[in-house]
Amino acid sequence: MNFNSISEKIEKHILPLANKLSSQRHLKAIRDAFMSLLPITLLGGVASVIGAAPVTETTTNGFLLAWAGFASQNSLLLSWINALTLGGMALYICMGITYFLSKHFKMDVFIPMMITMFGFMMLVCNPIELGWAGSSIDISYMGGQGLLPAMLVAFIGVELYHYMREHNWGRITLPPSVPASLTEVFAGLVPAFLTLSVYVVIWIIFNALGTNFTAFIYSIISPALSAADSLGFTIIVTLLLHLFWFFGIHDAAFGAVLGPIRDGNLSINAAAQAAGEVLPHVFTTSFWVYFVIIGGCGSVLSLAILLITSKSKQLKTVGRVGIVPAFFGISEPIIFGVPLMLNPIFLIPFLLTSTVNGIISFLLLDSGFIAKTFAMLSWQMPSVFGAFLSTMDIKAPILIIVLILIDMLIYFPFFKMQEKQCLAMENEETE
Amino acid sequence: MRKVMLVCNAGMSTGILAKRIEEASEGQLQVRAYGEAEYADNLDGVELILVGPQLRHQIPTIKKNVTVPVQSIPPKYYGLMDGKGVFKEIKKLLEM
Repeated sequence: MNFNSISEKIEKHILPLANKLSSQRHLKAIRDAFMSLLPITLLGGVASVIGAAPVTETTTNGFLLAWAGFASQNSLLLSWINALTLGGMALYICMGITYFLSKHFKMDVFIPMMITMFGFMMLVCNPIELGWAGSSIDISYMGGQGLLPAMLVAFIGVELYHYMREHNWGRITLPPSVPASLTEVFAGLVPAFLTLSVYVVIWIIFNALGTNFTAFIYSIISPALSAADSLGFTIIVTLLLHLFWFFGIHDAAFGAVLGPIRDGNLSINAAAQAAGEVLPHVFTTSFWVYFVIIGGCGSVLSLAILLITSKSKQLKTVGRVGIVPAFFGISEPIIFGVPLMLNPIFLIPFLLTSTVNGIISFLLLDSGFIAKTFAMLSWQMPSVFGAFLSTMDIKAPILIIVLILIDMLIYFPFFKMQEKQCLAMENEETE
Repeated sequence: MRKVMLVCNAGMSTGILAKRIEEASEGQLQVRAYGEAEYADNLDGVELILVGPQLRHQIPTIKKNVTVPVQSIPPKYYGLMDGKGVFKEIKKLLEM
């Protein structure tokens, strides 16, 4: 069997699988919710960076000292922003899933949103004191630790409400003379009340057991989450996603699984950073975007640099089109232009470059030689800047440059093979 | 002006191509790029949907949601961000 027939067979199976992963309504809602988080993570990232002035006891630079002074004077504000952005991620994910799932059902989103917000406050936040003079609640689970509970709250709420509405459970029918908007409110009254009550019952059960819903769920999943923050997991995920990309399929199909892990770890790191604690996680969104996939999936920035120096006209053109997007983390022009997709010459370096980036970066961040990430600015921020701003460690951008050089070395022999083929074809055409 | 929509994961890479197709069409087309989460809200007046090759697995699902033709963008045009090449394809598909 030759390469083409093998890859055709695999593609025949992988396309429907990718479609299933992308269209399943819960996975899709999670993915879309995480993708919509960007403004929140950006504001949180900016606050984190401002709060982390790179000063030591020996710093004498006036600008850095003034920066550090500003950060400490405004530490309450910065921490508050942090708590409501990266530290409040679960809230926005709950809203996002409610929105996208309601949209999937073509259902007006207001009542479901009200329901799941109640569920979120009830089950993810915890009351401390609800007195006349003042009330306080514990919001420490509103960040990374509360992501899965928040997702469950949204699913339970929207699914239950939708199910009851679909089946006309508890529908209160009013005479036809009543305005339509009022009819709708009454039609949803009993389903909404019952769905809200489900959250109350869940609270009562966990309270009777001496715990709460969120703490319980988190204690169950935290072993899995810490297993996910490992070198082995980084390697497996990198290989798997790049195998999909080798078939030219976007890795968004995995977003529903990776989003909560990456963003959850980032949120926990950001909280630790704001509190002056040791950062616990390596595998975060910024780790993935800035350290593993340098230039987008396939780490194609290195290859783009090789391409623009190519003697082949075709490859040089692809390099010129693709190098700027690659600088901003968009790899599609290179992947489809060279092409790397389904090209047996590039299978090995395409899988290897990002994996090597992942291994080296994981070891250096995990050992503490380079600071861990606590901020996420934008998927489109070039790795060199992103690596610095997300860690505030000057060694990080140096690592990125070294990794680009290593990636160039890995791509080089395969690039030469491709170039030889292209040149042969171009010579034939001109003769 | 006839309306064409490009769809990719977040509307980022198709955004570059959309601009080039518009330029190639010299005012005959309005081309907008959308992410997969938002395309369904922007279908007004759109006559043709072209999907980035990296999202071609979603075409069956997109077809179910719309009434206009849905096509995958050929990878070689996509890689070179070849607005002229895609415009030629569009002309055939829209019978312009």
